[in-house]
Amino acid sequence: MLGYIARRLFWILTALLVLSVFTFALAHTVPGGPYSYGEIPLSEAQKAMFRKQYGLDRPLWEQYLTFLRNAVRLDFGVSYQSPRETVVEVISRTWPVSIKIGGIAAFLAITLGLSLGLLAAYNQNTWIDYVVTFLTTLTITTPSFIVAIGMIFLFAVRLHWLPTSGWAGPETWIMPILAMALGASGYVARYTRATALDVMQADYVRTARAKGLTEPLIATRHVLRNALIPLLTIVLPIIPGMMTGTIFVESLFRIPGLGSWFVSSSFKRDYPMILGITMLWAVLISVTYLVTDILYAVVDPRVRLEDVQE
Amino acid sequence: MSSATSEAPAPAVQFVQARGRSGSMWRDVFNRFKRNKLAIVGLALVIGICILGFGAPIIAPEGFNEQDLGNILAMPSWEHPLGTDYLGRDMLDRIAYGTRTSLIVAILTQGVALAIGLPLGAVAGWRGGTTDWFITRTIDIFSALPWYLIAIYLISVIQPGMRNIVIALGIASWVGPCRLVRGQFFSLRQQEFILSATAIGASSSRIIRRHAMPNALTPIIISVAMGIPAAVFGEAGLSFLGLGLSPPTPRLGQLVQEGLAYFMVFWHMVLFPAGMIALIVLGFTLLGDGLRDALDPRQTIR
Repeated sequence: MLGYIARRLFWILTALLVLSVFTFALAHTVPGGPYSYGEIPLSEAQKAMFRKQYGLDRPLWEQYLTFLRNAVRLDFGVSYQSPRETVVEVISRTWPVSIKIGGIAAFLAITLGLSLGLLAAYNQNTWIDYVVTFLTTLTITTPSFIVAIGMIFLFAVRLHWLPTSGWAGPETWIMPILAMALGASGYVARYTRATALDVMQADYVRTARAKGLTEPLIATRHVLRNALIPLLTIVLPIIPGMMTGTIFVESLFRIPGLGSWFVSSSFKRDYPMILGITMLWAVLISVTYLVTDILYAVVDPRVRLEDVQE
Repeated sequence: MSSATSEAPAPAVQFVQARGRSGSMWRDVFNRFKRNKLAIVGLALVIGICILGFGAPIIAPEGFNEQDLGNILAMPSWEHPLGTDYLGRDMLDRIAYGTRTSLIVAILTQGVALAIGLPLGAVAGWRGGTTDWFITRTIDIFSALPWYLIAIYLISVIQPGMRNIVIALGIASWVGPCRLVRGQFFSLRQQEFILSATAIGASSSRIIRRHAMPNALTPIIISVAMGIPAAVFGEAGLSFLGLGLSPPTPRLGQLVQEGLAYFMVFWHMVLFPAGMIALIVLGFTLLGDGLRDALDPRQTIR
C-alpha cells in the first residue's frame, strides 16, 4: 500500500514536471509579453526594461530553472495583470470564492444525485423512474451556462426575485450554485440508478431479504453501501472540478473566482498566473484520482491497488 | 413523457429478438435504433439542425450582416421570426450561420481528435511495452487537466481564427478516442483471428487496417457521436467567453454574449441562440446515446 502510494506520488511529480515544461515552453515561444496588451504603445527601451524586470531577457532554460526553483517554494512570481500581487496572493484571494460556490454546488449535486438515483432505482419502470430519467437526460445534455441563462431569464428578468449577476450576498450565490450543480447531479443520479439496480439483484441482498431484514435496513446497510463503491470514482472527481471554478458560470455571473481569473489571464498573456493556475489544477486533479483509488481499495477489500493502477 | 417510456423494455430481450430474426449486424443495429424513441427524436433534431445550418445560405440569401434599420431590436414578428439585434440584423439569419459554424467546427474537431487519437491508441495497444508506457503517460498528463483549460490556453497562445479553434479543441479532446482504441487493440491483439492472420504471414499494418480497425469501429463511432455535442459545447463556450474570435461570421456563443447587455428587455437576443446551443447538444447527445445502445447493447448505462 505505502509503496503503491509512493510510486503514484512519484509519477504525479514527474507528470507535473513534464506539464510545467510544456506550458512554460508554449507560453514563451509566442511573440509578445506582459507589455503587449497595454493601451499605450511602449518604446523599445521600455520594453527592454520590462523584459529585464521580469527576467525575460535571460535564456529560456535559465528562465525555466528559475521558475522551477521558485515553484518548489510555492513562489510563482508576480502576476502581470495586477503587478502589486504575487500569483499566490491572487490565488489565495480568488480561490476561496470558487471553493465556497463550488463546494456548496458539489455537495448539492452529490446529495441530490444520490437521492434521485436511489429513488429511481427503487421505483424502477414506474412514472417516478421515467420522470427522473427524463430530467437527468435534460440536465446532463444542457450546458451549464445555458441552464444559467434560462434561470436568469426566469428569476431575474421575469420574476425579479434575484439579481442577474454580481457577487454581493447569498442571493447572488443561488443561481451560480444551481447552474453548476444541476448537470453534475443528473450525472450522479444516472450512475447511482444503474449501480443500485445492479446491487439490488445481488445474492447478498436476496439473502438479507430472505433472513427477514426490514427494507430500510437493506437499503442503507446493503444496497447503498455497496452501490457507493463504484460511485466513488464518479463522485469524487466532481469535487475538485467544481472547486476550481466553472469558468463559464463564473464569467456569466461575474463572480471574482479562480475560473474567471484564468480567462482574463489568457486574454492578457499573464504567463505566471497561467502557469500557477494550471499547476494548481493538475495537482488537485491528480491527487483526487490518487485518493479515489486509495479509498476504493479501503472501502472494498476485494480490490487490490495494483489492479486499479491501469 | 411518452418518449421516456420507450426505455422500459430490457435491452437484453431486444437483443435476442433482433438476433432471432437473422440478418446482418447492421440490420440488427438499425432495428434496435428504430425501436428507441429518444434516439429517433435525436435523429430528427439533428436532421433539422443540419438543414438549418447547412441551408443557411438559402435561408439568408443576403448573408448575416444585412441590416433592417427600420426594425432595430425588433421582437419576433412575421417579418423577422426570431426578431432582430441591436443593429437590425435578423436573428434567424445569424443563428442559422452560427449553427453552420458550430457544426463545421464540431465535425472538424472530431476529425483532428481522431487523427491524433487513433494512430496513437492503435500503436500503444498493438506494440505495448515502452511505446505503450509513453503514450499512456501522455494520456495521463492530458487527463490531469480539464479540456477547456487546454483549449483556452492553446487559443491564448496561437492566433485566433476558426482553424485554430478546431486545432485547440481537437488537441483537447483526442484522449477519449485514443484510450478507447488502445483498450480495444489490447484485447484484439490476443484474439484468434488476429493470431491466424499473423500466422499466415500478414504484415502488421495490413492486420491493423484490415482486421483490427474494423473490429474497433463500433467504439470509434460511439466516441465520435458523443464527441460532437462536446465539441459544439466547447465551441459555444469559447465564443461565449470571447476567445478565438476574429471571423465576421456569427457564432452561437458570441450571439449569447452580445445579447446579454440587452437581456432585461430584449430577451430574444439571448434566449434564441442559447436555446439553439441547447437543442444542438441535446439532439446529438440523444442520437449518440441511441447509436451506442443500438451498436453495443451491453454497454447501456440506464
